[in-house]
Amino acid sequence: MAGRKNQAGIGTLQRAITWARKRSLWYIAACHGCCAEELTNVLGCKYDIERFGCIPQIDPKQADLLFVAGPVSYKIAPYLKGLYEEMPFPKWVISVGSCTNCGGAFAPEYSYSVIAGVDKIIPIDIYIPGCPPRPEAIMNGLIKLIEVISGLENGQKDIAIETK
Amino acid sequence: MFDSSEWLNTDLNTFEIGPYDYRLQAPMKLSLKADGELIVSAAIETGFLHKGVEKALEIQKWRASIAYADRLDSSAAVFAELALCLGVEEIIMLPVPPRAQKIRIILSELNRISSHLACVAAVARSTGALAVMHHVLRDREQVLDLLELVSGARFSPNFLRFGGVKEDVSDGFIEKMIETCETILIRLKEYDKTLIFSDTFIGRAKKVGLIEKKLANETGMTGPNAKATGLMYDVRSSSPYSGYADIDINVPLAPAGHEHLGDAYARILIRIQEIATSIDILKQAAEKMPIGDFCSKKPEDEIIVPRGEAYIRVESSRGLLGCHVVSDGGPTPARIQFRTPSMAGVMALPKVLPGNKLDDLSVILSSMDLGMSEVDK
Amino acid sequence: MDKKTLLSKLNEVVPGAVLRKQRMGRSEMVCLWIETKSIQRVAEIIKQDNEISLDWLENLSAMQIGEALVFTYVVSSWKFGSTLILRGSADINVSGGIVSFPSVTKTWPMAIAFESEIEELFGVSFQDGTLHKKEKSLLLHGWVGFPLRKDYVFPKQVLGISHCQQVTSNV
Repeated sequence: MAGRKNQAGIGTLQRAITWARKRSLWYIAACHGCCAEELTNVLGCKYDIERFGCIPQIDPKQADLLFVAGPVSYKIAPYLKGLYEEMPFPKWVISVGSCTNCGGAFAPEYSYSVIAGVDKIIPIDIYIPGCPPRPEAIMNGLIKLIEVISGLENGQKDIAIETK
Repeated sequence: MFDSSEWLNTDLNTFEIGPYDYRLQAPMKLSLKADGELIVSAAIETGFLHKGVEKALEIQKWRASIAYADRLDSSAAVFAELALCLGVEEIIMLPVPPRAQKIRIILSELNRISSHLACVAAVARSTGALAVMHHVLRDREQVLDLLELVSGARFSPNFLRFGGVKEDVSDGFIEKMIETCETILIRLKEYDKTLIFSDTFIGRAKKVGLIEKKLANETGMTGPNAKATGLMYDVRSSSPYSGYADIDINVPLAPAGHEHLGDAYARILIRIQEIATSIDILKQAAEKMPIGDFCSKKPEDEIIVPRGEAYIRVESSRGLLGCHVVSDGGPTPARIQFRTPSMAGVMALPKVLPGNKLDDLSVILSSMDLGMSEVDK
Repeated sequence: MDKKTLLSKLNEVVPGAVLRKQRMGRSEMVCLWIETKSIQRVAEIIKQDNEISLDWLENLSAMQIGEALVFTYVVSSWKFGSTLILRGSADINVSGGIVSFPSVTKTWPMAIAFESEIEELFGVSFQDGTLHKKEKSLLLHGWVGFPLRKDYVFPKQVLGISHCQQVTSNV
């Protein structure tokens, strides 16, 4: 416990703040292409993302989470970086689809105007593969992010609760 | 006493609405000059979604070109695949079996229904009718389930091949499709009550974003945007392709002198009527489905395309989609160029926006259904 | 109006403009090769004439064949529903510079969108057209090179981010 680095603190107030942050991630979506359609379907009532507390925002200063979907061209890259820097701390980024992970079908061997992966300009927390990924895969990625925020690695239990 | 016109004069404000904004459906830059709330002039800059599809098509081989055509615009994926396949089949002179032609019609019309439902949901969201948006997205899921049953993917099916389709439809598919069509017809009547004939929506969409028939002629607008202004052009009825010749199509058209001619309300009405037309086509195609092969080329055959070229027109959900295919006999295409229907809408925007209020911007943009990723290619 | 009468009319008003007549691929559409300096005049005639009335430019595409750029105009008529294809060509300079070609935007205003895209991607400058072509700008400001030419090499670095080499098409 002493050597583990996690965002959740041990004290009760810290744990309450972490719980509030991970259960109400208000998001803003930067939609560029095909994967944007799947993001709209995740918001719809069959694969409801609002039950995790995620509400779409229109103002980046009121958002905690940034979804980046679709191939990012060099022309829009400065604006995406500006959008990321406008969000206040703490903030997280999820990259949806192959084109933002690594270039995908528009990899740098085949396309001259798409960035090979958005992590060259902004730091990313969760990568979701797929072309486009199913809504269940996007929800899976969101749940992984909630686990990362509460300080848990893959599948480990919450040590703070067990040892108390 | 004092002449109020002297001090009530306002200077024009300039608004730069940047790439990411909630009023825009896709990244683009709008530069508006407004007198208070009234838009006086507009300029538009596009190009933020340029992926370089046409150059990638020249580097990859012929077999991969179908997957790239899907990703030109994802909500109208089957139409681009169809245009490319028809072009290559014309160069090779490869006949397509009748069963494959009917399967292609079924996929096209399902994709058209899904694309129009997405547009109705976007308009409902921009006018504030959020409950209707959820209802429409729920119905869209049923259509996407059908597409997944056929091809395995909801958005980029990659199902058409040169000479037919990839495999035959499974056994219960036609019955399930008819069932879904009946459900959607009932739901269309629900939208009438909640959205189309509600006074709030009519007040929000009436006389907003007026497009004249002359402007549609000059910019080469086609599809539902043009049919709402009274301009009749549909490739399925004027030059039928891929098995449309023996199917009756009644194309909806706004009659001249109608009170809503050319505004946002007419565009939504035409799209809902096109959904009903597509359901009718699906039922006819299911009845007239012949028995036979699904592809005239085996998957392990090599694809050899001799020298030649072709220009194909297809009626996509947004308008006329054209594809110019050129081959020089090599393993990769020499040039594939797509003529996309949303280009006319983007060219017409600087003339459509002036005269409208700033608050109506999101209604105009969502009712015109501009696919920015197909404009920028 | 059928093709023979159209050809004879063109030959009498602008003699020597039509270089060759061929079929477009295996379809029924007729394709006419036009001399570069008479393209604007031919465009005027086929639009203004009441019996031809080809007033809708459906598509304008460019392709590189060998050392020449070939432009294909697909024009249709709202009134009669007929289609005609025109072709023009221009040589690419040996040094790889910008190619000049006459513009048809004065006749068909919808050509602005197609021409501005070809200007950027192929390195063409269309002369004598209407202004305001900067509505569409696909590439980043200050891009070097013309991407859709056959001898284009992908950049090594853009905006400080490294970009890999392109695959040669024989792989």
